[in-house]
Amino acid sequence: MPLTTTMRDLFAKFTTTEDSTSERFSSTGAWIWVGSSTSAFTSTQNSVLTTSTDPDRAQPQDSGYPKRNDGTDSTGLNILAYRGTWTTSEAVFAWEEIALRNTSSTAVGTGTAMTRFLQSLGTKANTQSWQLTVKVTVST
Amino acid sequence: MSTDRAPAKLVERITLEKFDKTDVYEPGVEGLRPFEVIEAEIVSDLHTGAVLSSRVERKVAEGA
Repeated sequence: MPLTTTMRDLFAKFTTTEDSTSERFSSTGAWIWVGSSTSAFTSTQNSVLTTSTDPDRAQPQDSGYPKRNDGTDSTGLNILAYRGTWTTSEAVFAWEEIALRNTSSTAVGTGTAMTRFLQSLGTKANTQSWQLTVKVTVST
Repeated sequence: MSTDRAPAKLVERITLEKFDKTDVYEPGVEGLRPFEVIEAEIVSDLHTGAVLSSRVERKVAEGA
């Protein structure tokens, strides 16, 4: 899926340093969200679309993440790598969508989603831990 | 102005590793291995949003 319009605008703010620390997709600011919606992507979306109230559907970064290139790719491209882990009791539902956001808040209009990725990943059981790595690259 | 240059692309790649019977993932420490790994990639035109390519690969461990 392409970038969201909110991320497009945030890139502009990064460039002119008008952004705030809380808007950065850093080790403490980046969150990976998962949800159950299968609705098609549009660039005006700013989060997962699921109606789940599970507070653990958003996870912070695993230790050492994000990385600009986590070393698992052989190229020197700017590969933004984010990783989160959901333990057995967390996000126990069908995973259909992923959003990379700079907030854990569910408040409408809060934060920025870099992307929303649609993929059927299965239904997480409460006996399983799932670890998700998301990599985003802009290539010219 | 030429219009035939290749478009800028957004490449999104995810890797999901599923582990069973554990509440804490400690790679290399507990010697855990995922029972399933899903890798998916979508390449889209950064300007138009058109999906240029996509792929999904699922790997299931033997005996899983």
